Amino acid sequence: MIADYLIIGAGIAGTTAAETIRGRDAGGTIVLVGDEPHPLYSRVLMPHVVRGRVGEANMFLKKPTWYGEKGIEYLSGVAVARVDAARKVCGLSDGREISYGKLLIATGGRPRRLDCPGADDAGLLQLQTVEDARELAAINGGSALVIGGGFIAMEFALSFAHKKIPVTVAPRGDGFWGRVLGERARAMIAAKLGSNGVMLRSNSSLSGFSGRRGDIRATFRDGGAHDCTVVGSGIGIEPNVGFLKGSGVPVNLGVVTDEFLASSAPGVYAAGDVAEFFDLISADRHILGNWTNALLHGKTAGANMAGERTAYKALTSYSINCFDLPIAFLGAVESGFERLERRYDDAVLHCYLREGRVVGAAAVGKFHEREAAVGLITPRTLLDAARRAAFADARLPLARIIT
Amino acid sequence: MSEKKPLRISKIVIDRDLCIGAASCVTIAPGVFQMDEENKAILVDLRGNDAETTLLAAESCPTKAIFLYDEDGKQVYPYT
Repeated sequence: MIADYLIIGAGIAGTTAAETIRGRDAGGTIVLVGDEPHPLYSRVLMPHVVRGRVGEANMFLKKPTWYGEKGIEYLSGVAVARVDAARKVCGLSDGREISYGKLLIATGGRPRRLDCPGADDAGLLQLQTVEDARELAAINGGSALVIGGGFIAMEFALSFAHKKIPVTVAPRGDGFWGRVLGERARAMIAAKLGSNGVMLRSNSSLSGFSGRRGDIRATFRDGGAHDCTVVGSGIGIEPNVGFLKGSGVPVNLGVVTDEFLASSAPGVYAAGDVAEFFDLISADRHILGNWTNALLHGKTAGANMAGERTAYKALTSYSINCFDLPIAFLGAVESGFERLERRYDDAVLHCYLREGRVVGAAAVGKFHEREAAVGLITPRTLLDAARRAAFADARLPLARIIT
Repeated sequence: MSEKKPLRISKIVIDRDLCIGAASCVTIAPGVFQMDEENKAILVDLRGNDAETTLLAAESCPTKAIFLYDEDGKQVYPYT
């Protein structure tokens, strides 16, 4: 089998790339390989489905017939087992081989698994796929424990709370996003969770599980234990790069690319949660795992595979509503960065600095100065002492710092 | 082949309950959409971007919270 364009991964990045390529190259053969047996769906909609806000059919963003109409050959339920970048050939899990002209790696990530005794028997829930959403939606009654302290842990907590299932969240750090948010922001989140009946067990280092779903005991290194009927695991994702071992495609944490989303292997690009790309906004290389980034990566990578040369430049965000408390991360928010705090009566805004320049922001409570934050991040504004003081003083509009 | 009718958008509805603040619409069509202080998308100008860009912005929404209608009141997006 031969494809002018071979795309591995049929999520939002890969599918958008296929659509973009077709818009620029009417005749080229496009093969899209995805290991899930579904047309494109929105993982972001899954919490709404779990909570019964929308029907499952609403999750799907493409009809099964769409691929054929666009002349995109969609091999679903198939994984790529290996890549040989020197020969420009991929081997599929079903034994087939595909030679490619251009290759896009858009394999995303997989939920990190809890590596502790009893985890397999405890039947931990994850929240990534349609099947995971169905499993969570079907759970009623009992009591829940959530391991983690980020977005997926929060989604689990909100879903259990919506189902009136008593839930305790056990993050490794102090509260949610303990490594990036300041104390006041974390306290606001903890208070909102508490007033809605969600318990927080901070600084939890899990030692193991005993029992099976329906009757599980989690034990912690501090000697404590927690009994529940179901456990949700939301401890982050890791990029799907295992199949690239020995391929000749450069991998660090993800697939390493430049700002054009091209790797150093000839004709090989990466997009979405698997791409460790050079970000022109933060001026460093990193992985960004959010919907908008994956979608816009797909557009840029697709265009470049079809012969354009466009650099990727977009400032994207990841948000959630903790009950009615908005929480949003914009741009590069990493634990190693310097963090500044701007306090409002009912909200906190952080900005994150790399080498003294603003590369990201986080808002808890409200994000009314979002545009000003965008204005600070986009040119990587250098914050001197006067500007730092101005950032910390919420009596003055943030937009003033820029001028 | 008949000429494709140019896309006209006469009404935009944002379901605030579905919006989770991913802000993809604002990234793609900042003339039409902005975020409010609750980090939800709001409509600022129906004609702030061209119709194709507005459609792309609606299509980019991961919770399908943006509804577009044409002059006849027919739903243009999400595709029915």
